[in-house]
Amino acid sequence: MGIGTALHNKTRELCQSLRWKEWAGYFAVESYGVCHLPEYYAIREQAGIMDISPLYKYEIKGKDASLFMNYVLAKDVTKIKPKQVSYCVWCDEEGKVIDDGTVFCFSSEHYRVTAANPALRWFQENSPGFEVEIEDVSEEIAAISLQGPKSRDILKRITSAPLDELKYFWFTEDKLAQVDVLISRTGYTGDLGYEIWMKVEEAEKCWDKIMEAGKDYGLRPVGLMALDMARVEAGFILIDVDFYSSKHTMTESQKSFPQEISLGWTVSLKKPHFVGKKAIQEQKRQGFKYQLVGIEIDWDDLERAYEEVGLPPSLPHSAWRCMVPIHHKNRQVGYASSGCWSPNLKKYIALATLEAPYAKIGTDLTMEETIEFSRKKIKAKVVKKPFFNPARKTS
Amino acid sequence: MAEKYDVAIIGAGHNGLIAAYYLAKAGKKVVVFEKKENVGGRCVTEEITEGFRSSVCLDDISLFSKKVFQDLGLKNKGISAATDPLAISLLPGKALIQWRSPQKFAQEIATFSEKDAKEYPKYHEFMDKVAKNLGIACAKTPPDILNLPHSDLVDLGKYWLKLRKMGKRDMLEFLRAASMSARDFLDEWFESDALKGLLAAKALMGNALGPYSPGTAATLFLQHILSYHSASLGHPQGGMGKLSEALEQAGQTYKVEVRKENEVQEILIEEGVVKGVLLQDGTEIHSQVVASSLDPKTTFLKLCSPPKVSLKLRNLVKNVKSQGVSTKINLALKELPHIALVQGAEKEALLSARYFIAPSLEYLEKAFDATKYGRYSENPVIQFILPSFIDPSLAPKNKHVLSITAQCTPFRLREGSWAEHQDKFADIVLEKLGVFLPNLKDIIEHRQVLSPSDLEANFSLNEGHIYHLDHTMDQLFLMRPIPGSAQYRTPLDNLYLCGAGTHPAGMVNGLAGHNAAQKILKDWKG
Ligand SMILES: Cc1cc2nc3c(=O)[nH]c(=O)nc-3n(C[C@H](O)[C@H](O)[C@H](O)COP(=O)(O)OP(=O)(O)OC[C@H]3O[C@@H](n4cnc5c(N)ncnc54)[C@H](O)[C@@H]3O)c2cc1C
Repeated sequence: MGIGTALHNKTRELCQSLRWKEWAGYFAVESYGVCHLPEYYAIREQAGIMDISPLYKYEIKGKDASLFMNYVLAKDVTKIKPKQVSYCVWCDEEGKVIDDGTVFCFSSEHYRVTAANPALRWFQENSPGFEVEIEDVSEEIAAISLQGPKSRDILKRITSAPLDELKYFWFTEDKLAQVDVLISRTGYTGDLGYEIWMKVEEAEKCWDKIMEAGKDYGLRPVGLMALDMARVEAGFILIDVDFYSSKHTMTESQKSFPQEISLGWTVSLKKPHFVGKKAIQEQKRQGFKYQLVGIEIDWDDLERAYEEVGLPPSLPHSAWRCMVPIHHKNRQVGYASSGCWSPNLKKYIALATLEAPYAKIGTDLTMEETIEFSRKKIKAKVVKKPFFNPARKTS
Repeated sequence: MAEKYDVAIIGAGHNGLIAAYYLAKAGKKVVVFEKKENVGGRCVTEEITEGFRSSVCLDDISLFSKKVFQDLGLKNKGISAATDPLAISLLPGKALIQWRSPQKFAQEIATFSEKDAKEYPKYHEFMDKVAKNLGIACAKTPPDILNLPHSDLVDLGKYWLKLRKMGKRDMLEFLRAASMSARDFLDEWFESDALKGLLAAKALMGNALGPYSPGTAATLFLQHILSYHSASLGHPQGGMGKLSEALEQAGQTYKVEVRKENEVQEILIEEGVVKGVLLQDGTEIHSQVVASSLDPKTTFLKLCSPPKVSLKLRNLVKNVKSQGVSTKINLALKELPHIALVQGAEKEALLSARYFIAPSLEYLEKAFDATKYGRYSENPVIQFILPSFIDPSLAPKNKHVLSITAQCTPFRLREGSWAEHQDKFADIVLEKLGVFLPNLKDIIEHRQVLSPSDLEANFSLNEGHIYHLDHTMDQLFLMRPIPGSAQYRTPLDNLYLCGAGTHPAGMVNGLAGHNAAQKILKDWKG
């Protein structure tokens, strides 16, 4: 089991359920209360606070920082402006996704990258010849995520940072509780939200200040279970769940091109050489085999299937993460990898990887569901992703 | 429109100039770009202080190839014949003098060990045999054993036959010895610390290696082979810069264009194919072939835009062992230093020799040890020569210059910078020398200290390595500087290497330039 983050003393006091999980070697709260749903509702109705310090963070600095980032990442990094954040993927030489993360641009000579998996070695291996310094600052920088419709109002009480002007996926550097912080309008919930980054020594001070400011707004600490539901609703994929890092797979077929996991938009085939470009270009010519889409499971059909065995319909009240076969007529054409009942949308939704011809919106499919000891096929349909996309996310 | 040449050479050091000569002689339109205002690179003569001139980097052309010497017609260019003795090792109360003749040297050895005196001529004979038979490989492109084209197969066959010609016993002995440490190999032959120290010091100078390091016996063979096939030269009148001028003149006969103060900023690459070079002033020069005499790290990692070089190549290059460990100290002296152990009838001859402070293998190894910990040696290995004694034109009348190379001084210090440490190190060296040159301290008018960091800055030497990269088994012959580029041609189409970092070695012998030119011409024909 892991070690505590810089905020462990805070989160430990609050975690009544004693439900912890390992995240990148750290203790992370699964749910603070015995039931995670109030935490989910906090994200969607008021605000939720999360310790996201376990994220890996790297500083890339030097004359060639931009050239280097443009070479290791699939996106056209030269288009990212100072103070902008960008969601990026990086691939191996075969064009298969290694990891995804956010890139913070300070200047063309200074970037910060967050990653789900350790990336230092990969960046360093690729760096010979580039005038860059790559530093792992994972243990030096702590981070707090504040998500939900009231997050802006809460932050405004404790910082004079120009939050009204701060656009989605941009950041600003300011003070919060006399602490130097970086505030980015980012998050993993698909809602209005911010991530606040500071030196580990000052993390507790910031946490206390935010908690205090959030009292009148129904702010709650939220755990990973609530987050998982929110991210499925937002249509965000998760590494090791919806796709695998090409560095960790056991077989070739477990690897994915970015386009196969709905991340084609993060790939710029127009820019000069980047790691994996040739292979991606070649596959593009042949066509990508898979696509990752959103599906909605038919409520009436689910109810019918349960009724057939004399049971009331049962719903997944927390997000599940396993491979569930998806069929078209009588042939398996893919699998769902995570899903949940969305209390907000009142829909049963899931993320699924399908053979490309079956990925069009509206395609009729069935998803397997275990009902009373046996596998049943329940009607499902390809729908638009994100499932939940409130105007406040970007406004 | 960009100017067009057949071949653009980066760097007008001796290798760049020699490659240019052969290429132009074969009818190619050749341009050489040189960053500095003078040619020669490390082979230069510069003023160290008013009135005193020195070949600031090195004063040694004892390994210069006979073939290149003859081809370029360097005979009447004021280069003297080799000195005799070749080297002198200074030891407490005693000196070991290496005369050119193995028999005469053996007589000197006898005062240290009767047994070694008997063995030495046999050792010399064995080394000569290796040199005689395998020396041809130095003036040729090493075989490409991965692809093994027909001609390389023939070469390999020839080398095998040459090996066999040595006789079964000597062949086996050579194959066994080449991978041994210098210590293990020399211990098998000799018992005298003084003798082993001198032989190893000569071979190991410049490398971040100690005589206990595996594979270092190879440096003894390398040294001997190059020396065997050398033109047996001593000193160019006017210093090493004169040699470089002579090389430049040789090229002029065939219209080699040398453009000084023209630094190459980038090697132009399109889709993996080299198209020419971009100069510092923004001028683009197009050429069929680009040949770089710079070290592989500078060539592949600094002059090429990294995304255009494969990751595999960049990593191979990055891992090349290229940490410089030598510091150069040049002294301007008021008068001739007194060398306590040098006297008698042969004093004149003795004063023109190369001197070493390297009393034993253990001493060498301990000096190297410091490198591992990012420190400089408190008991450095020292080599020095009095060039002004041979060539009085270098200093005012009756005054002298003393040229010292000392190690180990690793480029990467664990604590502090070379700017902070170099004077302290120079003091240590002078203290050591003072034991043998008692009046040295009192006669110094000026001293110039060039740490590895200065060598990098002043002579474009990556990490200050005097040979670009160590002469280790994995960085010699088929592997120098890296597999895939050891035949001078690199994985980047139309880019060749022709400098000290290529086969046969990083010394002043001209063979890298010669061989690279031959390879370029051969590939040109297809
Ligand atoms: C302190 C010291 C001691 C040494 N001792 C010995 C010894 O005892 N015996 C021995 O045989 N050898 C010795 N050497 C090694 C020897 O000097 C070299 O092996 C040899 O001079 C290499 O010649 P070169 O032509 O390959 O390279 P260089 O002489 O280095 O020539 C390269 C040239 O390229 C130029 N250049 C660099 N960058 C650029 C650019 N971007 N654009 C254009 N031009 C550029 C440089 O100015 C230089 O003129 C010693 C070297 C040093 C430094």
